[in-house]
Amino acid sequence: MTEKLKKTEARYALDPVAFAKALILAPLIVAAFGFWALLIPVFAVLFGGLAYLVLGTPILMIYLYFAEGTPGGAAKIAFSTVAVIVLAFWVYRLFFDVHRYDDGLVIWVGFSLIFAGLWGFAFGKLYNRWRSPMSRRPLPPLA
Amino acid sequence: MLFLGFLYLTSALGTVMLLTLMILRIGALVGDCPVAQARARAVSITIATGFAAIGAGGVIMIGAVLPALGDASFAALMLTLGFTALCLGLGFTHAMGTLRAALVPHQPDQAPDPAADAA
Repeated sequence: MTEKLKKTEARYALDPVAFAKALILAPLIVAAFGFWALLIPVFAVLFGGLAYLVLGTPILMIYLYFAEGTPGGAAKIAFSTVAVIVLAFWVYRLFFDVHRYDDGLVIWVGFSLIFAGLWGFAFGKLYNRWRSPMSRRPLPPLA
Repeated sequence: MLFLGFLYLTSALGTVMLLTLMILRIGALVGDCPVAQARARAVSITIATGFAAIGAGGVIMIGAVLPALGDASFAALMLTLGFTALCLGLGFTHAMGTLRAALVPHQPDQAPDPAADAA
């Protein structure tokens, strides 16, 4: 416990209350602050909210176990999750004939990438605002 | 549908119960250590209560999408059960993390400066 942990070995505990609050409020806050943009952030909650909850819960829980959880880091992990899904769909599209989805595909992909980053950043900001001091420090190593 | 819901709730809430019992058992095991004794019991019961409540809430909310996936009932059951197990397992990992953090004896952030005492 005396020597400082290497950054890759540090593990963090989760503050469940702050996590739940931040996870649910992040898209709503983005929508509340960005409604003037042709209501796009509001419709983003309707279209992408469920996917955000289903994917975001486990992925952010894993991320917050291994990393300190800065807003930028959360935004990066959210963006790369959606990017991986988009890449996987693109590869799938190369081999199978699924061109019936082509209408507005670029718009879907673009908006999902933008909002993944925004929601991830908002989540990180809110979580860092509300989390307990215990979840900020790296865990002590198992004796 | 009723049978599906029954199957889902039994398995998922059974998982919650098992993991809660495991937290309590781990707390009891740590409680055998004379240094951590008093702390470990209280902390493990607190964490187990929180885990059971949050876990049951999550299970019920995930169960709410079961009818929405209606037609492919076996796939729906497997998807929801898998997602439940994944989230409960991650929650358990974090519960163990909290237990680890709470068992460390309280240390003041800064040791008192001996020079200040002398002055």
